[in-house]
Amino acid sequence: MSDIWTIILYVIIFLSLYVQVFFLFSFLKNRKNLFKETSDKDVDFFPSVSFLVPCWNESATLRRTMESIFSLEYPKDKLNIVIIDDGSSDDTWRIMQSYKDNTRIKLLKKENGGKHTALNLGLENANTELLASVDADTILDKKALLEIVKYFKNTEIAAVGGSILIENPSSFVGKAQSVEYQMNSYIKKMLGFTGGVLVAPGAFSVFRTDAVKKVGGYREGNNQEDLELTFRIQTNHMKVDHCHTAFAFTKGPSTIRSLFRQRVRWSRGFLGNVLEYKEAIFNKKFGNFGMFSLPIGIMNYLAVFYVFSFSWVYFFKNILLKIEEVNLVGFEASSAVSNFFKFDLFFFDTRALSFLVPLIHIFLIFSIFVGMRLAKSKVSPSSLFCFGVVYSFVPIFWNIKSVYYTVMAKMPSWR
Amino acid sequence: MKWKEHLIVFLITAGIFIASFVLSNSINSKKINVIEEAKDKIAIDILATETRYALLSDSSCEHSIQDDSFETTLTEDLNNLARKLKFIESQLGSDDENVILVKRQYIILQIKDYLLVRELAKRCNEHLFTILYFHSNDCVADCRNQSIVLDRFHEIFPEIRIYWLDQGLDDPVMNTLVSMQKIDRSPSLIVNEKKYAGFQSLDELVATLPKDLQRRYKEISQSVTDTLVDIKTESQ
Repeated sequence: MSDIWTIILYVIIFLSLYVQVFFLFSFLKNRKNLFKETSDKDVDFFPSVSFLVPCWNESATLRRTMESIFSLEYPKDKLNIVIIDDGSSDDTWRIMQSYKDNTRIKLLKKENGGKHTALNLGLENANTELLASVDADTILDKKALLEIVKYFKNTEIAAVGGSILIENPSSFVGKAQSVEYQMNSYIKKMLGFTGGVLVAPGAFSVFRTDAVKKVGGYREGNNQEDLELTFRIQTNHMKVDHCHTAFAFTKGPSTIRSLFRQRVRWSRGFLGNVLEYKEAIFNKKFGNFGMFSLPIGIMNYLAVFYVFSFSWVYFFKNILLKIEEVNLVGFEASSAVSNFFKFDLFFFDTRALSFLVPLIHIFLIFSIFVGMRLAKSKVSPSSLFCFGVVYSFVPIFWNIKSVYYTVMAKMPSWR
Repeated sequence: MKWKEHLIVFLITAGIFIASFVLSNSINSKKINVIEEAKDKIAIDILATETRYALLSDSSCEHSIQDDSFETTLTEDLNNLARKLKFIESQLGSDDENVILVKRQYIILQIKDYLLVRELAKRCNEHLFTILYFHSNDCVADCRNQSIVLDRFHEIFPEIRIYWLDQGLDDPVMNTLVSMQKIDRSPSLIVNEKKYAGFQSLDELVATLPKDLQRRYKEISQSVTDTLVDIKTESQ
């Protein structure tokens, strides 16, 4: 490997390590608050909340979402629900009709115009202090709202993202995502401590209604209206946090293909929004959002491209060499077999790289396990295996495709 | 997080980074020491052989150079040292000062051993097989393949001395040998004083050997084939 590539690799490793140390530092500084349980008796803050539930062909999941909202431990007279049918072609509107007698539920129907238009219609009809956006396939934990509204005692807070987890992961891809989502809970919380949250997820987040109206409501946001809104709130110098105890469950894609499509959309949305808010990158005015979160988000792309392509080239090159070796001297005499019987510590790779890369992996495992504790769940070895397989091989492809879409100014389809 | 905290994080990260490089350098210097110790051992072995045969002089050739007593572990030591050098070169780079120094010493040792063996063979009128293998970093695929073949060749015929000579090494002794043998490309092999330019397969190398050694190779190949057939039959 030539020197320039080695230098680039070490720069990426340094930055990755910096990010991990940053998270660890933040964790150690705030760990006492992180696992502190608060009694429900202490809760005396119940602002009024409007739930916005945008629907587009959600007949299969809407009822479960509604049931979970009904089950929330929160004063019922403080809750309103606005369900918006964004031009569904299935039974969504019919199912919505079953709630028409509930005075706290408002049913709206419009021509299909995209999720942001449905949310804006909901926003127009929300006159509560807070508004909660919930996807129509999200199941809320009964304490989710109670937990998340606590953050709004701080009047500077404009938005708080909930902790999104995968509901009963059973498929290979589902198990992989369950680990990823738990790890993300840790990462988002650490970013929350520093004011650098990148997204208050559309699956479940709560906003101060005035703040959303003040920044101009929802926008199409490169098919990522939640990310775009968070960027806009951040760049308007309002605070965004993450509530790791407000659990919301989503199904998540169950196949590689559907995961790939989802992530291409997310990645394309991220890149598109980064371009729109490029003035915030490395801009001290926007605190850690501009100085840390956005740069590491972009660096993540470079790291994935570089590290993955580097590992893949290395991996396949070695396989080809082994095949060539077997052809030359036969399998039984190849180094793969003979070295197995000639174990010698001398031949261990002792370049600095060999200490730094495992260290980053240790940090990664630490993130997974803290995320697991924050999510109050468990990570099985099989889930870890699925995570390792899926996220070692697939991200480079969705990154490449999303970069291609961004360069070509194209948008992936929603579904 | 304030800039002071970012500074602390930066210092911790830089500390970890520097510590990794320090640890890596320290282990690699220990590896160089291991190589130097091995090289010193070989130097003593060669000196011992030289002294022993000087003592015996030409009074007697009863201690044949093809006896086990001559073989000792020198051939194996030379080979192990070559493997370790090759590995440390891949880790530290071929332009590392320590690597270059040890390689020069190693090559001089090899040439010294080669001259001694050749001298003794002449003196005792023995037919001795040696291979001089000239390689360089410029010939990537062919030299890699030739090295694999020679590794295997050494496993089958441990008594045949193979000298791994890096043509790219700027050393007067090496340069003299290269010009004496008229080596103009890599890989090149001098098998039993005869030059072969370009990659030589295992079969081609075996074909240069005396009949008894060729028979041994056939027996080994046959036993491997039989074992594979047995494994296949058992698995069925």
